[in-house]
Amino acid sequence: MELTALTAAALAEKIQKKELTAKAAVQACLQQMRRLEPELNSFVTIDEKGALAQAEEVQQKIDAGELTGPLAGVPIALKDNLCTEGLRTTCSSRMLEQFTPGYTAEAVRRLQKAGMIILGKTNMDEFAMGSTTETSYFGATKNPWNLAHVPGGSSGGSCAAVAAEECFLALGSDTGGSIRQPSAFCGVTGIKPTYGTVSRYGLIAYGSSLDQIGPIARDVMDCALLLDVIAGWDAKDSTSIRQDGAGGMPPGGYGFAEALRAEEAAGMVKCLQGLRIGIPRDYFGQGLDPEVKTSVLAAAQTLACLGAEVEEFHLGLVDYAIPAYYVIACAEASSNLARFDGVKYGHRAAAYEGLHQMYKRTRSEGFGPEVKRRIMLGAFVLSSGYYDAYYLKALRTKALIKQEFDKAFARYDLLLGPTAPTTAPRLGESLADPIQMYLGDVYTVAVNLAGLPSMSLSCGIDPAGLPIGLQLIADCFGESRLLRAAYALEQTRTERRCPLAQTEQPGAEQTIFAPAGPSDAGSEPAERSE
Amino acid sequence: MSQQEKERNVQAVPPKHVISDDTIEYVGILAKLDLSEQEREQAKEDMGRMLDYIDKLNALNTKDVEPMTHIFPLENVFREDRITNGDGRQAALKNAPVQKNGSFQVPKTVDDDRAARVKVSGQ
Repeated sequence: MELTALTAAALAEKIQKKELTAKAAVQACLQQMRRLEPELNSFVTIDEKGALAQAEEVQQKIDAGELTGPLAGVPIALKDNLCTEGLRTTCSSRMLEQFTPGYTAEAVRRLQKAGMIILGKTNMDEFAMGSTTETSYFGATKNPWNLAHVPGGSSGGSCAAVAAEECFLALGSDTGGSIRQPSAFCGVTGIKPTYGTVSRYGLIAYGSSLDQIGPIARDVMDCALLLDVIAGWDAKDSTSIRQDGAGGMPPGGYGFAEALRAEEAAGMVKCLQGLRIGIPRDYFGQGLDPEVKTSVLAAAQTLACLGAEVEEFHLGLVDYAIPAYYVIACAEASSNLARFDGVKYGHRAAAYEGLHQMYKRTRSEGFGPEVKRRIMLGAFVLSSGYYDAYYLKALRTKALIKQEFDKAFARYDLLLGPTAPTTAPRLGESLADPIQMYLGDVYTVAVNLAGLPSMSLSCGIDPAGLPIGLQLIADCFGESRLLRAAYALEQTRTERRCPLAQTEQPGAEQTIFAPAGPSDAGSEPAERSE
Repeated sequence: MSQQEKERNVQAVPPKHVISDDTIEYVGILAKLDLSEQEREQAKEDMGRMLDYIDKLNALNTKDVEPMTHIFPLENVFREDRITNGDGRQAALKNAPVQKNGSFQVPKTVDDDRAARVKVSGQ
């Protein structure tokens, strides 16, 4: 097997056992980038020299027995809205094309402390505003499963890079689905943690009350390991949650991965016994692609076979989540992005008369159309005369949506639905009609409004060869529950690598869910089709 | 013109919310954006359509519902007023689009007459 196909956990283990070096892992990633980046474009900045230097340093610490963590020596990619000291951070915007932060985001600092190696910064929708990674100033990222399609967004670069095996893990950020939706489109696993679980210090803000940083990986265990590294209270983020036992948080860390290992050791037999899973009927209505529906319901069947009690129910207010989300997110964006004024950092227009024209020209040149659209809508809904009718109305709606989830979690431990209504659309199809694009976020945005943890997991492949994702949602602080169900589900699935990632001739492949096995032309073993 | 654009033009029904030139001018001032004629027209239409869509919220009775800004109760976070970070002056200035004498340089914000008056009244 090629080195890049290893899970992060397996790689780190081999590095600890001296079967592999951190440098070899970095070189394998760089090699993969050299082969794929000209077409894929998952990265805005590749820090080849820096990564090799980090590998050297980390390897020494591993050899000295100073770094023994489960992800030590693992190369990782970062969404380009996470500040990295000395390494350009652009938010995929012309505004920050030349910006080199003077400090490192807390989540990234935790990765470094754990001995992980930063490969570079991944492409995204400009300032995380978009669902396709096409609004990037640096050009669109392609979907590694089918290069004519988008990878989703806004963390499209991170998800594409993980799927294409240009890195073993990545960090993304999720304001309205920006980790989960591209994870679904790229066939990887991503978590949006409970609001406040991961410090937002050093994450360039979009919608501060909604933004969360989260892990992206090829499997559930890797996701859990990465979440263990980045989660935790931070004095530098006032909305970060203390792990002191209050609010249902275990003292002394989360131990997500440890819990999974215990589960695994116990044999995973009927491991979901007693777990109550609700399927919101409202997530399976109009606009849902039949292939996606079939695949997600097959997964529900599998969960039931594993012992979970699965039933349908009515989740209210589903249609109100998108309008409420766009009012709140754009309002916060208009305020957050006011800092880009051409004074202290970022782009400044070349010619202007006076301060105000400098501001206006700078911002008009520095921001792309989608960012301008959202800033203007945000400024409008916050302006006097409209504040009550739009902004406060949206905040009241948010309160009601939260209540609907509270009701649901009184009856269920987890909710299950599709991550997105379709698989990845073709490049160039989405931006012409913004509202149509926003509607694609129907299943993901409510989770951010209610601050809930949620994860997307691959559950099948459509006839065009594009991955299908399902979404599990838990009540606040229910990450371990999410991971447990996802892990159990994953055990029933046969691994399927993204064909583009493979440099060796692919061997026999099987459908992703062994028991359900719907007809899937692409799943025929290679030998038979010859 | 792409297929999408064609379809969009065929479907185009004018938005119910008509955004006036004055409104878009005002939003431009608030958002500090200088829009071209074409951008301005597009913005009027896009905002109108978005507001039409957001009007969906009006179907929801939110009387007596408190606006919810954060999911968890937020409390002020206090710390000792002690400097913990070092002197970041050089690092901060490194990204300055224009700098002068160790400071960020901006266009003149106070004209000479007013500056002179301020100086006089300050004496």
